Amino acid sequence: MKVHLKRATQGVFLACVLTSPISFALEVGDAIDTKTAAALNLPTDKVAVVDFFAEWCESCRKELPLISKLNTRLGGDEVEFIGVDTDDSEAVAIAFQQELTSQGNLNFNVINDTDQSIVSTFQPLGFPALYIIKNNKIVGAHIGAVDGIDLAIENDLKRLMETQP
Amino acid sequence: MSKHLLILALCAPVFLTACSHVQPWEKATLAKSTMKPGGPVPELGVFDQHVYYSKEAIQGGTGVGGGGCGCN
Repeated sequence: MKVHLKRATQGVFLACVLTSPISFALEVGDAIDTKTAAALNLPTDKVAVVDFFAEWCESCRKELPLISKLNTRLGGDEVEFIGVDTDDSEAVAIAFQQELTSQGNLNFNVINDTDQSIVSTFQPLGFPALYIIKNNKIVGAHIGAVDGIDLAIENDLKRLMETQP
Repeated sequence: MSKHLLILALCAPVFLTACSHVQPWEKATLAKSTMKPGGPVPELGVFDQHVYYSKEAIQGGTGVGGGGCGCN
């Protein structure tokens, strides 16, 4: 009887752990798997700034124009900006992107993650989520709304170029 | 026997915190104006908040931080 109870306890404990809502968010220093890297079309020869956003996210609307301006200044041979729209409706995502583009607030490539498979891999703890990736490894991250996100990214990139030329 | 039951009872609440966990990127529905106390009419929300504040002597906690992003 005692042995059965012990085994039952262990089984329930294991089931609880396996079904628990504990998230495994990717953090600075973590590597990106090849499948996700391919889905993001990550460049191998330059730093990638990957920004996750959505139509319903007000903070994303504030940050995207700043990131686009930064892309105008820094995007090119050394840095590539990649957007990931996590809206589950492609029509909503495309309409949002067209609205931003027409206003001059979006000028980099965007991947529509309608099945939310890419964002589920990163599991950011807040939104918007921005990652700086070099050689398929996360070297910087800004999770949640950040005032002056453009300056924050620029500082990260400068530091990165100094430490890892 | 009681030792195992005690361990199980202590550990269960840690893992069984919710039936479903809404991730930050899944808050599109929660960010809609209809999910706020006043629905699509903000004035009703203000009135509702005033009643809530008067009855409970507390306020806040009815919205999603950072404009629906769950970021702050």
